[in-house]
Amino acid sequence: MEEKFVEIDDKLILKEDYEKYKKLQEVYNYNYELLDNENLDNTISVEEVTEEMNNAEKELNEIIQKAYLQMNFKEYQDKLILEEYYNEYVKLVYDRDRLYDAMSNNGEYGYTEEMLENDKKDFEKLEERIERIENLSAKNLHVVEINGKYILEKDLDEYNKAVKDRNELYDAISNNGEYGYTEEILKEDKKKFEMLEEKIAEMEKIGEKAFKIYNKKNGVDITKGEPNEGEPKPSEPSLDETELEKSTPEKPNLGESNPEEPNLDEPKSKKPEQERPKSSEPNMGEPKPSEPNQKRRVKFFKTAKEFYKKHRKAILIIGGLALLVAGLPTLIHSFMYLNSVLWGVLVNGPLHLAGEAGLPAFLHTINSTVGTAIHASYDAASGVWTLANGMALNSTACQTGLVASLARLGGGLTFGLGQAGVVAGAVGLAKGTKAAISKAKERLKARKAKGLDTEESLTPLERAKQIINKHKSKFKKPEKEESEEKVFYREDLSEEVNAIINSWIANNLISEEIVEQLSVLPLEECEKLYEKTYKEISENEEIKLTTPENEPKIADEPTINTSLEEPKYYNPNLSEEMNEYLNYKFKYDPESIEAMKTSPTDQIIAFVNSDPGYANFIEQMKEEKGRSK
Amino acid sequence: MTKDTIITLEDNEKYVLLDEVELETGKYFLALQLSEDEQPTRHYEIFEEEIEDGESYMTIVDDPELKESLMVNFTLNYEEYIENYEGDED
Repeated sequence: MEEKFVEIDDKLILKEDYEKYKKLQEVYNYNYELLDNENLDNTISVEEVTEEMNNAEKELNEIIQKAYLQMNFKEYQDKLILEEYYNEYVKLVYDRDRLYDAMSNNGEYGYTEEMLENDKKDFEKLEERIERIENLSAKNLHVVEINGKYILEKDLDEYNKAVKDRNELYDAISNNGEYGYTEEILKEDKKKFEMLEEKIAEMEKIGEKAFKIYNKKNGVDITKGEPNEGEPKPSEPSLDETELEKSTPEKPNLGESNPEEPNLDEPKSKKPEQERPKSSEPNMGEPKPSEPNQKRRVKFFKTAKEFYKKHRKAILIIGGLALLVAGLPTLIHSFMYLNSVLWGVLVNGPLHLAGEAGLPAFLHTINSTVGTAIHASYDAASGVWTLANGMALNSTACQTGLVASLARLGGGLTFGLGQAGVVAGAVGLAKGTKAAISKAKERLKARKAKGLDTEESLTPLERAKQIINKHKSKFKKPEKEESEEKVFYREDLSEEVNAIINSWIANNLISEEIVEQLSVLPLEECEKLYEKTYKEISENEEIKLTTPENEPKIADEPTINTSLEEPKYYNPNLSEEMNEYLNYKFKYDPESIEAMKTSPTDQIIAFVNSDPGYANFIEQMKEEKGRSK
Repeated sequence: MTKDTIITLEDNEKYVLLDEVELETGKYFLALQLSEDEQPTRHYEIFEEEIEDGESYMTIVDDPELKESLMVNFTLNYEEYIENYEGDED
């Protein structure tokens, strides 16, 4: 290993490329810093710097890819180890195991405590190195899926060629009569055929193992992680192997002509070219009967115009904001490749969040800081717990990643994606992912070039906060929220009456006209209207007071007589009218009622007599009595 | 298919396509599932669209890295959308 590759930033590159790699890195970083700090003078444009940075990035990727293609792996105790490390690894494992035995049996060996302590240290060192090699090897295992098999990406061309050769050979052998094979040629072909079969099986076996190891190390769920799913490879074998495998038991007999065997005119019919297995095909032998990710045909479609009329705010603004607020931390993760636990929160979080917690998250957001909103959002989607858990599980990785990300984020959205691009471009990422990263990167650069993202010190959260503050006026509460606001208030009415009127408004029980009248009428008339409305609503539930025509005729008008109701206040030293008036006036003001109960009668009489409402009340009572006669 | 469309899949699930990102490798949608009576649910998906014989097919994106990088794009779309949103489209 030491001779062929060198490790740099957790990657392996060929030793011969080391100097070049370092220089390219410097170029990349230099240009990045230029963009990042906007240290551009008039002699160089953003476009030039960006181009230079992109070129450096491209060459860095090429170096990484070149090294990858030269890596070989050897199997040892169920692990795939880079060939360059293989001998060292085997020795390390051997030493470690020996040491383990020795330590376990220290009594027999007659260890002193000091010796044991030293052995423990040695053991830890060995473990550390072993783990390092395993991790480095696992990180370089890039697997692609092809016809349901998993193959090391670096073996892909060789694998495809072997499959093609094998299938051609099979056809040739099967049609030996027509080729006029001699027995000797047939024997040779059969041997070649078997060798190819072995080679293919070996590559499939190592690929399958690599797939398992890769997923285990990288925390991707094995039943879901299907690299390059659905992406046909240009060099994909043209033959359907399953067809061939089915035929394998019928391997040609040497020299025997079989009329039922395929002839040269037919091979196409038994080889469905480029036919890839459906996604429901077994994955590494594990049946996936409930595969959720099936392709589904769009049966009907229509414009969402009508839908948006009702839900635009809720969906696009509220849900979108939740997406934004939660999506920005996702960006951090994109950059630094934090561990999969954190990924679970940050990638699934926003989706989860936008759906499960989107609406409440929005309400929090508009009324509080972004930080609080995020907290609340994640809380609603159990994200806080998961995030915290992620930190705990892998605190170093997470925190280092986050701190590094935040520290460098500035215009660092570009940087981050640049870094991601380096890694993504290297090996192993699906084409779609590369394209998506590349597109995002371009857009972020364009934003920066347009001066849309200028705040160098902004963290993603600050960025979200800024966006929200900037567009606060656009984030109006939904209508329902507005209707729940206290829109009616008269100082000369009790709090309780105000609250009741507001509840009518919130529940659309009274029209705007009535609300208007309640606001502007003199108190006495307002109270009358209130009383009348109260009664109607109580009695009729869905009363409509939208037009004067709907208002009850005077003859039907409910009186202000509250005699049907049990009086809350009664002072035998007052007249009936006064008692009735006070009950009417303070019907919704229990505090005043209570206060009157302990007040001197003469004060109450003075109060009633000075109240202009009382005279009106008496007058109306008289009218009422006259009408009833 | 384009965004701002309500689609009904062959298993009768309904989604509104809220946003789209077109890449050289395909077209992807951020979709919100709707109830039978077309009310928004709380379930979001990212779909990849495939066209076969003139018909549109949707597959849920479950590759974590692809999903993640698409999220970056959807977030940027949202940012740009809200910058241009006048608040009175309704």
